[in-house]
Amino acid sequence: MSQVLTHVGSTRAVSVVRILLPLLVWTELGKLLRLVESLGVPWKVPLSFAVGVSSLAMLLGWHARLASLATGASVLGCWWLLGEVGGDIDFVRHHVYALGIATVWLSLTPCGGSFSVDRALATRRGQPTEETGDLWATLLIRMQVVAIYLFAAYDKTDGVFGAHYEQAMRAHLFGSDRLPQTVLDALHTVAYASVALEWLLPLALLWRPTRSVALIAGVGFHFLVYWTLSVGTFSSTMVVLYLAFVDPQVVHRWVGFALGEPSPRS
Amino acid sequence: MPPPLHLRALGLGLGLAFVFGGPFARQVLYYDAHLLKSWRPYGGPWLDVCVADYAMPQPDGSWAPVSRLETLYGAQAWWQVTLHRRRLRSQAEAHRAGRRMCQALGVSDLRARVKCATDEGYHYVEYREDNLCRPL
Repeated sequence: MSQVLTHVGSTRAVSVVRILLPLLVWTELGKLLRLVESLGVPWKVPLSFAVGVSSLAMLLGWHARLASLATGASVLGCWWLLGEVGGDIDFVRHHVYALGIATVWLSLTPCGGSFSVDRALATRRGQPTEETGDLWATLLIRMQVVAIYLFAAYDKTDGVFGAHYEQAMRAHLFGSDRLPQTVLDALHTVAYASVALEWLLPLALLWRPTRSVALIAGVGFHFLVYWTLSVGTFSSTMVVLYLAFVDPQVVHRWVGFALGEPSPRS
Repeated sequence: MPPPLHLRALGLGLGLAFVFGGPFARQVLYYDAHLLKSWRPYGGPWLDVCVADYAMPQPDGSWAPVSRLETLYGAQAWWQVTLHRRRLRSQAEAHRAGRRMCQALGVSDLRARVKCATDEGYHYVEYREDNLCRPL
């Protein structure tokens, strides 16, 4: 446990997540929170302003942790005040909550340690700007992903998920008419295979020897969901959060390679 | 300056309790508190769909299936029609489509078997009781 709490590593992975999450927030909420959509709806104008300002600061990495906390809190505010209380179904969606809570957990990490205004200003002031920090809170992001899979799988293990998946596919693709039995059988097979995968993914993601396979399977699963159903930013959010499962030093090297930095070995 | 170890442990403990405790309370213990998050992916708008099989009675007592998409839109397959037209959201929509099919086919008896999505799967709302071609 103390190893988790004292985990120090590269800040690049969490900083990449810090850059990607605001883009997903804008994709998910941008249209819904436009001023013209917000006027006259209680709480919507201040929430719209809060989401806009805080997510921009988060993207730039200006007071990155505070900006991440403010972004997460305002997105969750949209979920609660506009969705759960206000009854607007667009804000009740899982995509909105997943974005908000992940952003809150991210604010507990050194997400401004790389690619940020914070780092640039520290460099200008002559302060040390090593791209390392305490990464204990990435465990919360990992556990959030695990909880989403576990409880979604629990909900789907009810004997009627095959029918529910068929309904979702009918609503978004096939429509209401007679389908060949082979198609129906295939849909039900895919449904129960995806539930089995959702039960397996938490363990496979947490256990280091199976993690790589689980990440590939998870990306494939989310691509399939994104391609066939209307799930908004949920698939992209989950794939972005997968970065919390990758060794931070590996992400550091990937990003360095992408930026054309010299390899440490060369 | 990172927080001291005991504060990190406290933050981690509270965070994990929130991450797992909320859905556990909602989904396993059925505790109804909307501030806690549940993860139930296929609810609400997903279920707004019905399935309709149309058929004409035959003199020998059997049923001859009739394709709604072919009758109304001349389509041989579902992908030749827009989703808006493919999808029936209610029994009333299935009835309206059936009445239009009566006119298009020029027949006097057309029945539908309609089942609509519910939380429990499907629920049959019609089982060929009504003749959709009967004048209203």
